[in-house]
Amino acid sequence: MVRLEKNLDESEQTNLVDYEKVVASKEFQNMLSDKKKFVIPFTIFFMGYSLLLPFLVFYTDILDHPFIGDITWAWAYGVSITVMSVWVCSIYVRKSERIDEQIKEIIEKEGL
Amino acid sequence: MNWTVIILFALMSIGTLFITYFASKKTKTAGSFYTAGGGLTARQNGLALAGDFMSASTFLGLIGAFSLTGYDGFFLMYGALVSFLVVLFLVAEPLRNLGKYTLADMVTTRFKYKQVRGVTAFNTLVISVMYMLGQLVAAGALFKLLLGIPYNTSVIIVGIVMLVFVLFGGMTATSWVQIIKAILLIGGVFILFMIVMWKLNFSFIGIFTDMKTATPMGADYLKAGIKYASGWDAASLSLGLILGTAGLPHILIRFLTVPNARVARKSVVWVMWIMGAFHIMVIFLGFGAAKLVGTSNIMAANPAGNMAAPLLAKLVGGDILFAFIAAVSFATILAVVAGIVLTGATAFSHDFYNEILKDGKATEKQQMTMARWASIGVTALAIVLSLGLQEFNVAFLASIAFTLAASSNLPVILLTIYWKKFNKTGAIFGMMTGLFGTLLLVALSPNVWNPVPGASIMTGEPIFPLNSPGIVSIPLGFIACYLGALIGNRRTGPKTVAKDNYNEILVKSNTGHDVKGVLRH
Repeated sequence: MVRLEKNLDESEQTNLVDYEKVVASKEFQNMLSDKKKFVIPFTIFFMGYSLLLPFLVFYTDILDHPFIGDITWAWAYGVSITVMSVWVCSIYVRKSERIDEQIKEIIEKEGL
Repeated sequence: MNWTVIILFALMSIGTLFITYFASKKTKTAGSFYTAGGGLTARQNGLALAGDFMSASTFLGLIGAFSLTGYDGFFLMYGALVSFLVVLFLVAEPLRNLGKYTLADMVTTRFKYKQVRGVTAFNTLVISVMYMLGQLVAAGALFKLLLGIPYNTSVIIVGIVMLVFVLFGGMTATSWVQIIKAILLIGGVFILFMIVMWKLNFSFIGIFTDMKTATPMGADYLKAGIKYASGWDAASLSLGLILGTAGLPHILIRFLTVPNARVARKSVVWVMWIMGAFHIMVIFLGFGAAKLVGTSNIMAANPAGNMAAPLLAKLVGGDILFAFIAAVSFATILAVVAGIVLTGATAFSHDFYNEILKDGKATEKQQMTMARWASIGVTALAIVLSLGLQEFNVAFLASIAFTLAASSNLPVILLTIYWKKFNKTGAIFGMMTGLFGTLLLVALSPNVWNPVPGASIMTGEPIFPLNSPGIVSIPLGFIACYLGALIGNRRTGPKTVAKDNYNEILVKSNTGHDVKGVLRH
């Protein structure tokens, strides 16, 4: 059974760590920009991909054509959101492993 | 009365009480009561998260929705997985790195004011009770249909059983019940899926051809538009579901039961695979129910389709499978409601009592006592409210909770983590506007107003046209945060900006360096 360590006094900690300096450091800025480079485009992608569906099926008929047998593209799109979610999730995990490395370096270097 | 059902229900209850007994031995501190001491693994938390998410309304409701409304079932379903991407990309790791026991802990790491904590805790309580109402009303309806117990009695029974294991076992017991229930639910759905597909000769493609003639809707069954009148209504519902999860306190609190951001992330991977598999099976179970049980039989048992899954189980698997599915539905309601009670009680005892009234100086024992009293209070409140809501649509109540979370909590969570100029005024103003704005829009919507007398609570033309307010109320929440922040910054001037601790938040939310303490044990 894991137990929580006693509360660290937050004000005490603020005095110990110079957060301005950490944020200003090149490593931290690199890590932030690397993170943004995949978080922002992917967020736009998965939000767009999923919110497009209601508009496509209600206001166009481009998904009304058969995909396999009597399965239309509309059904394929609906199911593909599930597949897309699992796929994007696995990409996130892979990318953030790399970010973890950068964070580890920052923690060691700044003595956090 | 169906004795197989009663015996399985009894076994399920005894099993959960056993778990509670063992968990209660480990629940010695407030930390272990609130968040299981932060010691769950990725797989455990992933299963518990999936369990929290696959509530009675999801399991019974989705199969019912696909069976009765065909393609329109997607709009209730697909938001769920995407919502976990929102959680994963934007919220889970910063939350684990900044939070301790509650959502208010995270927000007040940046804005150290009692008002901010108070408003966040109040929000948590309102959303939790709202979500719980949907579950309790579902429990009442389920018991009434399966066991013939009157609605009011069933709500009270579920309330009390659930209270017992929250009171004694806290988060550890609740998590374990949730994990076991998730396994049973997935297992049950898989068995049902295999039997149904066997009856349908495993023709995954041919079933689509069959569905064109299997229901009164004909070929329209496979097209959008049976339930939702417009793309905007469907999109508004989906938007609320996609963004709602990232603001639901009882889901977010699950990320505080793991030791670090890495484990938080991995638990979302588990959720994705479990729920992805579940969703694919749900589509075919909906088809199976429509084809084998028949639209009219499903509607006769419950007009909203909530009994489609149990009826299908009875048809293909006889009384035993029926009893098993019914008992799993019962465990589902029990476990989900317990998780929500715990979230509400923690917000009360940790935020209101310990941090606001006692300045964070209450002893462990005092906090545990207060948390237990709060659990009783929250349960009593929800039971009393749900007794008056028997006639309400369950999915409607659950969707309000989602939209409330997306409109009031999510903007504040995101801006607290990512916007340097955000401030206390913006947080309070945003949460209040999101909360009351959503409630107002629902009060003016077609859910409440109907021109036909007796069809809804009020008679008259709805002022707000959409059933789901998400597409209006969520942007409203963000705008209120922005305007509040502008006003706040103008009033306080550059002095507080210099004192601002955004850099500290930025470092902590990204590196989580001060949660290392938990890891070492």
